[in-house]
Amino acid sequence: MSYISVGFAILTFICFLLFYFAPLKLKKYILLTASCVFYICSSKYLIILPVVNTLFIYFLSIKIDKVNEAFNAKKKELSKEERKEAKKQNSKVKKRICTVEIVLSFLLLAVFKYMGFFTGIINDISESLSLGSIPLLSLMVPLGISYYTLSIAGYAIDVYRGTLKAEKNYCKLLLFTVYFPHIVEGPIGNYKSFSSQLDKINKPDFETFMTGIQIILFGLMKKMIIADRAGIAANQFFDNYEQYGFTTSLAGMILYAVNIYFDFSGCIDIVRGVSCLFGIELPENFRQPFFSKSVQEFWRRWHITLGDWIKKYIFYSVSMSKINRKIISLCDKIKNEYFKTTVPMFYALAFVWLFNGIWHGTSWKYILYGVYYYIIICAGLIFEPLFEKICAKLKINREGKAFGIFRILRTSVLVVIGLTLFRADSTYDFIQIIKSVFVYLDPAGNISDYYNSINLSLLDFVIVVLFTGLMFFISYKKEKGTDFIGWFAEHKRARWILCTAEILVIIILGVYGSSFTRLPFVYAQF
Amino acid sequence: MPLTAKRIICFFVSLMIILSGVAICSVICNHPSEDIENTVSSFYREPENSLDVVFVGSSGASKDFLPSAVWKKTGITSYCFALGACSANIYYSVIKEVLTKQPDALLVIDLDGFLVDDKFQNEKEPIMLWTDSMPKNRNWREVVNRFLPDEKSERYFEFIKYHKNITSLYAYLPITYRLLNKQINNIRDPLGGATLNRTAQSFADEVKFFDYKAENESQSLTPDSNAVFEDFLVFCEENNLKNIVFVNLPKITHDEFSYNRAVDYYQRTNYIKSKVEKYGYKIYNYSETGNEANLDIETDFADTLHLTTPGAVKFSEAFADYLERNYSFEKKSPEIIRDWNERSSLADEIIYE
Repeated sequence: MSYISVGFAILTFICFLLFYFAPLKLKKYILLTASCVFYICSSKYLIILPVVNTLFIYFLSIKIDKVNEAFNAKKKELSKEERKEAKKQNSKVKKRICTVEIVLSFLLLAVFKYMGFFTGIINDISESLSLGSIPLLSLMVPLGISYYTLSIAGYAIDVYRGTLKAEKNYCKLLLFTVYFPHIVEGPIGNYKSFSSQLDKINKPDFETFMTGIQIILFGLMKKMIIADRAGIAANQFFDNYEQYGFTTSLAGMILYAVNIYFDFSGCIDIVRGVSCLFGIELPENFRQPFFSKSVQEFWRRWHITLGDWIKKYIFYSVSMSKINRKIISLCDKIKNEYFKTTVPMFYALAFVWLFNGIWHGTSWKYILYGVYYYIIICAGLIFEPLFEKICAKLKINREGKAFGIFRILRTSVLVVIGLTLFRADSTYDFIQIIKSVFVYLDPAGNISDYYNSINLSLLDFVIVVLFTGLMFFISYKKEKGTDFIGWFAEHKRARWILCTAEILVIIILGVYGSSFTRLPFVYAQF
Repeated sequence: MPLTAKRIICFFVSLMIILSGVAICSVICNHPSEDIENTVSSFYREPENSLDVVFVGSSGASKDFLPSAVWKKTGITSYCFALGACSANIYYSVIKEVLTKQPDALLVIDLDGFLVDDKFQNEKEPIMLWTDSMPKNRNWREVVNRFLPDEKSERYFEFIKYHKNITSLYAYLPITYRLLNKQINNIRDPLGGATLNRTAQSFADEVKFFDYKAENESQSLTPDSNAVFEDFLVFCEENNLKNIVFVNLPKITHDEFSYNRAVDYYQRTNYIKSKVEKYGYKIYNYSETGNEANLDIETDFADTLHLTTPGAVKFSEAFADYLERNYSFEKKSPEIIRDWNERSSLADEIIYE
């Protein structure tokens, strides 16, 4: 069930009505029921997976809490030495439990999502050794498995680290896992924030309701007017890139970047808006990423919750590991203060980007995607002192506006190249596309052929440009600190006009119906 | 969240604005095909029981039959209720609409709809063009439920399919103007539903008339076409339709494929002939007339299955003679004669521009 389907709208409407009129105690359960219905409609019997996964995490997390409680109850009676020993034992037990939780969760993810990929690798190796091959198992991927696995694993690790107490209400935890607004494309949940909001859940007031509607409409505009149009054009290019020259290739790459950004951020807006209707605020997942001045900054503004999750549970964990501590101690021998602190990061960053790549997809291309950013970030860190010296010698003001614009453009180019790799059907296709833009610079390959082959008129392209420009303006204002939601909350007439105009524009200009090729949400496949 | 009067009013005002905006855009955008829309809407502007003949069929009929030429030759009033790519499975639906306004008209049925292979019977797009152009009545509902159960939402809310046309506003505004102007001013189509084909064929290979003759050679229709044909006969019987003539339109060949297809069509026509004779229906098979319309292979054919405008004039005149020989029609009053003469002049201006 897509977020822009009639079915989803009906489900949300019914859920909202029931939620609004239901007694306080039942509101959570209405959300849980709606989430289960949504899941069953999309993945049918596979709902058993998040249910069982959550059940395991639920019991094992309670076990961790019980271990802590037992220790806390005993520790006053113990001597210092005994307390130390007991704490060590305690830690080992908790670690074992947490390991089981994480392994179980990620094993399910590996089986359902990555089985085909790993089987393919094994077959490639065994065929090269003439050992035959094993049949490729193709399993139906449960809805949102990549997202809810991270959410529930994050919860398990937080309980293990002691930053969160284990949830005693299984239904609350299950709701966190399968919550229907965020199950398909995130944002990846944080249990502490989610749970605290759930505890304060109440009838939404009119302002909250209208804020939700505003955000939903904004998301629908992004997805249905900009993303899907750009997607039709981008898909035509990527499916037939060999026919096109420099101009079309460049246009195709940019159109894909436009497509994926507005598709993903539009979906997140819809999701946050729907959740807002129920009084639950989901975290932001995008913060004007194309205003970033570096790739690191880009990844702090793009898919924010994934970046936060990876930072919290992978980067910090690897940074504090024994191996990394050994690397740090080795790096103490480096004389340069900058590299002394920077080089140890490379080890942790390798895990970060490997995980990022693998999480996104089941092919070598996605691993290469992660490696691409790893190389850029490491190169950036390594050459930073050199860039500083060069800028100082050339008297370039690194804090100036002009240099800032240069950095933004540079980052955008790198990101668009990365997204091209992300979208290309294979690494070979990616290389050919990059060559046609940066090496051959061949203007031939009729752009008119490309234009005639896509079912879009000139006005469709004008609409993409105009609305992208409008979104750019809004993003620029937000970057400068304008609070649009707050402003419209104070100017209610303007809000009504805006909502009416948005609905009209979506109905008239939206990409839907059989005359358009409607595209699924890009990030839903992950 | 109290529902204050202000909020309710705001909600309804917004709703009205949205509905008005969508309605205006629907008027501009909901144009499945100007030709088909024109053919269908103009039919309903014909005075009741004013037509002697109504030609039902697909693109062959639409291009080959010119009511103005028929009128000039024989004084027979007619209408070309033919829809491009129309499959025979909706002939019955078209005839139902014809019978609402012209119950006594002689029905001329383009045989091509039954002669085609099965893949052409099952195409949904032609049926959608029909349902999106016809009046939204019981007949429409029946066609939608029967043939387009999976596309109901787009049939009930055509805007879902056609709103894309807003991005070709420059093309659709003139179409909207023309169609609305005809609707508002009750302007009947001077061409009587026909469409013109001005470009003659330019096949590189040798082009020949299809004048194959083998009265005893018969080939049954393909399974789906046969089922459609049988259903059609049942429909005719149930509705007590006595005045029907089936037509196999002029054809040429230029290669093995077109020749074999023409042979298939001919043999299937013989099969149909054997079936319809007991109902008293006639068949006008042009390939058996010895090219009585004197069609010129170089200038009168647009392709193997369709005539150009000069060809259509010639064929229509020849077919009009056939109708005059085989059927009797009511004498026309001076007003009708004047009206049709005017209309015919207007048609000539378009045909000979």
